[in-house]
Amino acid sequence: MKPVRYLVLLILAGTLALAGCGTPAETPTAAAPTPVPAEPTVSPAEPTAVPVEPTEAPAAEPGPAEKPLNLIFVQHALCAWDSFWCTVENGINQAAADMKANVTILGPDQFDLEKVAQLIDQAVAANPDGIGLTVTDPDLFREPIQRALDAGIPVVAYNAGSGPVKDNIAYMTYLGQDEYQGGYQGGQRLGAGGGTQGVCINHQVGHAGLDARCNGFLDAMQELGIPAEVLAISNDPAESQTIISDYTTANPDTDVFLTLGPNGANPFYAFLDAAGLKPGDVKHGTFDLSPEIAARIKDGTTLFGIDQQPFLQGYGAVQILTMVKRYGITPALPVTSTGPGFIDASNVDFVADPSRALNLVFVQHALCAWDSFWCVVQKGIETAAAEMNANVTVLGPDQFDLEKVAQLIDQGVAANPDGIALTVTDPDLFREPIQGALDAGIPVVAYNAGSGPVKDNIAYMTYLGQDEYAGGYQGGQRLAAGGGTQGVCINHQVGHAGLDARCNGFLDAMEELGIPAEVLAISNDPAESQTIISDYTTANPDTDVFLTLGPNGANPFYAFLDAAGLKPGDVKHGTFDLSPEIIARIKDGTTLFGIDQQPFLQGYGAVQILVLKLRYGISPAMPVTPTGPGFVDKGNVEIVEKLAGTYR
Amino acid sequence: MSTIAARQKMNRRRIFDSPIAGPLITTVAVFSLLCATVPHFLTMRSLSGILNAATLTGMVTVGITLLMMAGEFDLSVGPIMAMAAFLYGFHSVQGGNQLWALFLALLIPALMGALNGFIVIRTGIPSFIATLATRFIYGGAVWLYSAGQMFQTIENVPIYSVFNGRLDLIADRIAGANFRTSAFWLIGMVLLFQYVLVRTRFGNHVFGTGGNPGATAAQGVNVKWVKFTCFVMSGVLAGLAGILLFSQYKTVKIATGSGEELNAIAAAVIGGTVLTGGSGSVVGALIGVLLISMLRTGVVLVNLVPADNFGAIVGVTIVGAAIINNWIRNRS
Repeated sequence: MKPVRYLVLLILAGTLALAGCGTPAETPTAAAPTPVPAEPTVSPAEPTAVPVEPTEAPAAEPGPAEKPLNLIFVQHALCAWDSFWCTVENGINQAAADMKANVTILGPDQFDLEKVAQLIDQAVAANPDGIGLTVTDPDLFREPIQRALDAGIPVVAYNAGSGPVKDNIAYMTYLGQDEYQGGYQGGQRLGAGGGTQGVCINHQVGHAGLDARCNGFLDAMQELGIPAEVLAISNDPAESQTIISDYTTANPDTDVFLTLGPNGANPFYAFLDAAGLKPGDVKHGTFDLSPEIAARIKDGTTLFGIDQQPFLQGYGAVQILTMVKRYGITPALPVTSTGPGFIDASNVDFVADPSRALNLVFVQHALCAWDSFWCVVQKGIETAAAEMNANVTVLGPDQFDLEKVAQLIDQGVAANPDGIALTVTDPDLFREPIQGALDAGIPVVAYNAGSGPVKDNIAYMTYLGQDEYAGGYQGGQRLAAGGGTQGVCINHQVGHAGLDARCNGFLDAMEELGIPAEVLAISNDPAESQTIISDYTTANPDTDVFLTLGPNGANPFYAFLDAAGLKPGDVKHGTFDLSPEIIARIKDGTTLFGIDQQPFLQGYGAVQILVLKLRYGISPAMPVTPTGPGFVDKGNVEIVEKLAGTYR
Repeated sequence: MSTIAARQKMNRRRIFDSPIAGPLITTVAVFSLLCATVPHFLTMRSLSGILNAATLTGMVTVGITLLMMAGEFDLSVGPIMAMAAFLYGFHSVQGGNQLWALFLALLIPALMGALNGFIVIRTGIPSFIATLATRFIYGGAVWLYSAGQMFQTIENVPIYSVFNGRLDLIADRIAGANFRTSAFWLIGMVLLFQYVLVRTRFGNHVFGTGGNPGATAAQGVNVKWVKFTCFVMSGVLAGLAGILLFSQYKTVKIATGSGEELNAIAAAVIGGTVLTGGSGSVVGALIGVLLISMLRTGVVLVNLVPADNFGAIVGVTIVGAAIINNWIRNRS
């Protein structure tokens, strides 16, 4: 077959040509997109250990981490006259030292909110890089805070406030305890081994925060099928003790008790002693800590005290401001919980040790070496390790191989590190190895993959990653903020759980705003998809709010816009993920935002959570700690674009 | 009478004997129905949208139809399309040599098609299986070549408008019209390959190779060479589809083109091509993609079913069209 032989040679020549010319190394820089989390590869076999050795003097880091920042914090109280705030200020100062920021703390000489408002104005006038403050009175502080925002200064609230949405002030996020969550998680913990009847002892019915705590508790009880109610006590401990005693006489099956602070715990303990009840006879948990409560935790009467973790409020506020200014990374949610932090028998005696040397092991299902998405995560890990002076070793397989990852987790545990962080890519496969770490007393945190300790049914501390539903929900809120007639969520892969969750969030947000919306499925073929979108808008001409779920949806959407001759501002569009095209469209105003899962923060946050736990005994507040959605809009698109591929 | 003359005579017979009789009748019927019942169907915007949605799949379908008439399948056109788009994209941006980019984006797909043909001919494995395998192999090649990354540019390279640019001449005159130059390329390829099929000896050989390979080989035709060429053409046309895709959307990712092979086979069957080979028409392929595209637009415009259940409608259309085509064929 002579012609065929010649063709064989031609094919071989062609293959050589393919290998020789046009390798990805010639890829122009215009092609540095942020890939949607992509996993599988084809590559050979062994695990790679990438030791990340931070230097003692982190000054070697070039670029954004070096930029010094000046921050001003305004509080309604000071350590000088209220010792609660000493812990907050410790947090602030520690973070300032770790992250190389200069922080000035301002506060009144006594509780005086007018004075605090004046101090906020002073802070704005000093033109700092960022402002942290306690939103103790949103109405009183709204104007001065708005002046800061108008001046382009990022603002974060801590300790007091309800979030930018509820307070109706556009600061970034509120860092503090989530009262409802405290009651809810407390109830879950108390009812975990079973229970017959529960009661929430409220010493100040009508106080919104305390009522929220009981509401959370009641909901948790209801989910567990345990009847529960609220019992109001008074300011008088003798009265209160009798009220509790009479209640248990009338409800002898009550075996789950939640008190909301020392003012409720104290008469409760008196009741226990008077009734001759021993540790373990009933289940009790409380908010806050006191010497009495700490003693009762140790002797087993009380399962836990719930701490709002004031250290984390100060620390976190500084960190959020440095993230925004240096990397354009924004907090994921309007409320960033610092509490509830559960103090139980295992950590009630914890003594903070800021200079404790730490060896951490990270296990991932992918590596920067063969999946560039992970280079940004790696950068986050390295930056945090340098700032917080921790040794981090990153382990991962040479190709997508979950069995291999499970083995690496075992290896990691065997090395007996101080803490472990890992991607819970397959909870069922990883459950045993992770349990091995937990049994050995090693704190574990999950990042990038996982659904949280509750859903995954593995008792690690928290999962750090994007909350898909929240992304769609907040995206929808942003898009329709100025009004809208009809919305559509363009889904390029219906059935993908994450994408479906994004659309669900969007639809819920639209429903709350009273705007009709639905999901439009497109295909893999951009020409088909463009026509589908075009036909849809022909059939639904009032559609003016569009959400796409990634570059695969945004690309044909832009083609549709161009073909239809629509200009920036004619319709409202937001999308998930970033790409060169999306970044260009954010700049020209066509697209209001791109939503980033902020992989840098996944790596950084995982290190930080372990460090805070090991050095300061601080636990993450929620089972899921969102790193995304991180909104990239006209305000921060420049810095994000510059850092694409490294920090973003 | 020589076979060419016989074929020419056949083409002059009544419409019912044409291989595109069935699809044409179905399409005209569906078009009329949609015009009458679907609001906004008969607008320039909807009609130009129908044509545009059909161009990429249509280009691939031309090659698939040719190959199916020779009695073979090519399930690897998806990765071939992606590879072409990557090659074209990487080499045409930032002042790259446009001719070289074009050449590479057609040569490599040609070689990939050639490899398909080589495997089928040399090993005797059914093309369905062989190209199923190469689909995965080529997919891996695309992964390696692209380093797993989506590639996108925002550069406005002038030649892109030649391949898939907006037809301003028409678009600016008629409101809503969104015709693109890619339509010219598609129609041009359809006419070219239809001509080759019905008016050249090679086309004749293709029919014979698919319809009755034994008899055709006995007549001295190199059946293996014919099939091989069809594989190469299938690859080239998939490559051209990739070029058209990148020219307009300037984006390519690993998943680009996946699913196109089944869309193309469906369109070819609807367009009158017989699965076993030997009968069919490239114009029919065009009609097939247009019919599918028309139905999709109609469904979305009417909100008849959720647009993501469109696949069910295509399935019904395939069966219906196959029945109609068969019936009409049996009558002639």
